[in-house]
Amino acid sequence: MTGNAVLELSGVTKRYGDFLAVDGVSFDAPKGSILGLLGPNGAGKTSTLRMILGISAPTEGEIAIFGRAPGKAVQRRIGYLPEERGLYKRMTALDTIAYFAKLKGVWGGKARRRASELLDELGLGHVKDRRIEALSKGMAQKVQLATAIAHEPELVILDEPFSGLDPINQNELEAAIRRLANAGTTVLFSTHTMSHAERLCDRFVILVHGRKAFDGTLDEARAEIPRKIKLESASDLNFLSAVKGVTEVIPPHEGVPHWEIVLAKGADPQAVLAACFEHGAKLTRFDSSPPSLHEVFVVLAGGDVGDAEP
Amino acid sequence: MRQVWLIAWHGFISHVTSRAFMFGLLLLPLYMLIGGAAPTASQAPLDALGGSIRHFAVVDKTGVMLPAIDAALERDVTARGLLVLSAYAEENAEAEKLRDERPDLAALLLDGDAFSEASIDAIEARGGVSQTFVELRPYLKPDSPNFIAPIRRFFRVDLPEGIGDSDDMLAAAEPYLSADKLIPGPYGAVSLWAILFIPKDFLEGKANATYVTDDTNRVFLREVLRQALDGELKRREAETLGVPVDTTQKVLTTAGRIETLDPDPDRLGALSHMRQLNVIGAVVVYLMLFMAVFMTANMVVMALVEEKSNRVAELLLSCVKAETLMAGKLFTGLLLALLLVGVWAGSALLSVDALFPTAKVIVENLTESLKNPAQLLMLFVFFSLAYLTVGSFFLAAGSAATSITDAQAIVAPATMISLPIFMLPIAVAYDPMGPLARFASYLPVFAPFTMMVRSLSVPEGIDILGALVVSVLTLWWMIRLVARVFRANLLRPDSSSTFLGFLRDLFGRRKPT
Repeated sequence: MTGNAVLELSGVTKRYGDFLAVDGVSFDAPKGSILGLLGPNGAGKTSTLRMILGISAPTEGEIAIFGRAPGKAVQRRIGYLPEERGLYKRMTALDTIAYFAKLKGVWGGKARRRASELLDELGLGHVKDRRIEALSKGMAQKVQLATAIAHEPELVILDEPFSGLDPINQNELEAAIRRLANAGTTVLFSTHTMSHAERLCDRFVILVHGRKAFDGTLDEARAEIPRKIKLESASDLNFLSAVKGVTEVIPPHEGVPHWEIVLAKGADPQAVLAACFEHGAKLTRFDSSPPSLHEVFVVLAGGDVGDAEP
Repeated sequence: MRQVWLIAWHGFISHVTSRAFMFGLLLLPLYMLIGGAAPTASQAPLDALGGSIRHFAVVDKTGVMLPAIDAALERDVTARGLLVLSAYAEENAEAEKLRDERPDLAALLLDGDAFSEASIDAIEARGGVSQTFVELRPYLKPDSPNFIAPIRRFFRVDLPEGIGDSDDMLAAAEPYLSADKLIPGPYGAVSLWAILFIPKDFLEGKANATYVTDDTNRVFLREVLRQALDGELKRREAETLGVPVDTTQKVLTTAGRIETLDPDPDRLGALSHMRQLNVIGAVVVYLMLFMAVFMTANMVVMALVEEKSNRVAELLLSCVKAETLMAGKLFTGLLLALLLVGVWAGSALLSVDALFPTAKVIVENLTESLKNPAQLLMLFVFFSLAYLTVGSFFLAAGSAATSITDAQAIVAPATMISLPIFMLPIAVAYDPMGPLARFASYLPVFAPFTMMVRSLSVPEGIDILGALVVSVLTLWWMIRLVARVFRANLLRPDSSSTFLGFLRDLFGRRKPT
């Protein structure tokens, strides 16, 4: 555990009857960081977030937020964007944000002022007095984000914040999340869209079947899996299996039109390139870029990636 | 507490600004006004058309019976006037002063038998109903309402020429009796209600008179005419037998008097007219309150199911505790119920002058009962307790449902099961101080509903205290059960969607999530 952790989970387990949704999960989120909670559907992400929010109680283990148990004492310091969006359709955007801010302890006039400022910041100043039912999905989602942060929380929890958004709105949401983190807010978000997580997160926790499969930075994640080099060549490259550091040579096969050279941990990709020159193999592609988060995720999830997107 | 209030107020505003709620809010007063004022409103044009006055004709082949019939009609007017004036005096006269200063008038109007022939003779001797009212006027209480004498209900009119002499009088009169044709009345054309045919041999007792009408169910006119003919025949017979006229008159007006006494007017028994009205008033108020309780409880449940299905509930639970959310929802319903009752009661009070006399008396009596702040407070407290008990149960049902259909599947049987809660206090309304009322005041769940009815009278202090304790303990128990189910089910997508499943959740040991 880090010393300045805003959030700490220790051996948290959640059972619904006989079903084990979360199994002994532990992780922490340092102040001002962006922590990604990744996992396929049914991995236990939403259950974990609900326990952090105090909506449901852990069956076992402990959760500490700002050093205290989830509940009323810390509820006002947390902002939450649920996975399945829901707002009162007949309320205006301004009233909606102000209402939830008031529930979080902001007083009337200040709540409305803050709601107005947020709508302006999010480019929704012109629809302040429009009912939610009259807004586009992207607009409604921004309003929902505003309800999560209107009371200026120190910890913001976003459950699948990018789902259902078009690319432009996704970029705007990414920018908003960065602004929050830059302002010192700790952000915890769950997603199965790896590109957002890769761009945004300082650290990741990957859950698979309720268990923590990984907890660390992107580099640490990449180091967790064997590095692969992708080669395209008309020559037979099986000679590479004799190169030091190469653990496996996989020829092109159905769906994969290139050679894959699997390296041992710490092995130098340049040795493979040098061996190709030595054997006079002509290469049309040499790709030694580190594995993407999606690739890491696929390996750690054991192929069970559900609807995870690159 | 602030969060509870915020949720309650938000729900309240959301409902009252919806068209559906406004529709429900205003529809009942509209029905009350229409129902309450319709008899009065319809009376005026009917009176103008002579609709409530029965016009009849007499074909008198004896040539001597018409004076007796006309005299009987006048006496009928006086008799009805006496009844109304007696009731008016009983309500509005300063009884002691009247008895001290005008014992004769008090004996006639307050202590006499308004149905007796002697009383009718007495008021005729005074110059009729109007003159007697003039005598009564100095003894009326301040701000007494105007006295309205009843209108004449039977008018004798002449048949069009030829009908009385027709060989087939029935056929000739049929278009008039069926209102296909009108005949001239005292204030314009009217329909003919009946024809009395008195044959020439009637006086000798050789033939019967015939009463022809197309409505044989209403017999008042026939009875007045029968008495008129009967009296005239007796007078004539007495005259033939040489009995002096005064003696005959005395014999004909001699009548026995039967007084009606209720040994305990506050208990169930033969209900006086006024007590009947009070019972009707209590039942109407109870129905109104019961309807407000169930209507708003249903509305809050449906709103909760919607919040659950569109996931607003999850957002709310990230802001407040489940118990806070539940309390907020309960108070939303209570505010709505109070608004409904306030608007309905206010409408009844504002429209009281437009209501027909019986409805007016009911509203005035209820207003009188609730002028006592203690009774009003009692009604408010028990109404609130009744709502919170029912509302919390319904809220638990809403939390268990995943769709409006599921909610209805749970709420509908619950409503049917709660029918006895609805029925028992209606029985209590007939005898709010009786053993059943007292017993029901101590029954869990029934207690606040029973006390809503009993609040309109003055129940014993021990009953009020007992019912309060029972109601509060029931509510406390109910909220404990309901809070557990509410917390456990609110975010469960697979929560029980049947009534039995809901009961298992409510009374079982299912742990909260």
